[in-house]
Amino acid sequence: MGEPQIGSLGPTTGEEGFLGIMQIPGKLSDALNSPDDKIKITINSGLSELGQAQLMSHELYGHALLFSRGEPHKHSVVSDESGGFKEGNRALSKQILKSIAETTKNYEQRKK
Amino acid sequence: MNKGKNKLFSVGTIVLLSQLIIFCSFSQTSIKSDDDIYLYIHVDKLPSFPGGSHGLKEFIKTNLKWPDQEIGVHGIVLVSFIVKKSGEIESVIVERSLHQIFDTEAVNLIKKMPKWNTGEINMQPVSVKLYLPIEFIIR
Repeated sequence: MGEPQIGSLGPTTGEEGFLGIMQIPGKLSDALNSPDDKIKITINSGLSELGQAQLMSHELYGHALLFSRGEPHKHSVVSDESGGFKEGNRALSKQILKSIAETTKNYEQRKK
Repeated sequence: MNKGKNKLFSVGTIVLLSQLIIFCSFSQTSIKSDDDIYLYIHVDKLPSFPGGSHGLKEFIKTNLKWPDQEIGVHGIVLVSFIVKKSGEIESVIVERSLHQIFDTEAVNLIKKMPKWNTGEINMQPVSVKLYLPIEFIIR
């Protein structure tokens, strides 16, 4: 796939709210700390099938992949010029956009 | 017998409904006291943020922070608030919730706002209820 397009890092389905979370081994707060040495990903089951697939790729092929490589894997959200928010972690942003685009393409192909 | 009762009930319902509509109409037109709050669509001049929409945008840009970098939340918090005749803000309410932490951030943003320029009806300042969507979307 080519360069990811600029867009939201959330699902393309327009769904809102709590979407998902990744828990990693370590000594983080309860919500973020995995209870064992595994990476755990939780996705909001109330999302549509496509929304869940996109969030899974956001967490798994975005955050978890970078974490497993030892690279900065957390969001670094900053205000942008227009009064909105942008992702300051460019590597994460690029990886998530690429993953969501690929997941969407795969999902649509399977539906045909 | 039952048919008669039903008919009576229907007539009664219609009478009750029409009374309710009349009551609502009266209650809308009879609001004239100093404490009245007008919905934004009922005023001649809307309240405005100092510096207009550009000022509001700048204020949001400067003061709205992403409340938690770790939680995967995405969407819009819809808040309502009243711009009083004095320009002060009160009664900030989350009309559409996104997530508790993000709702709180949106409410705090509104509470931090400076005095607004007041809304008017017939060139008289009035208290006005406004709605503002606060977007928490990473682009």
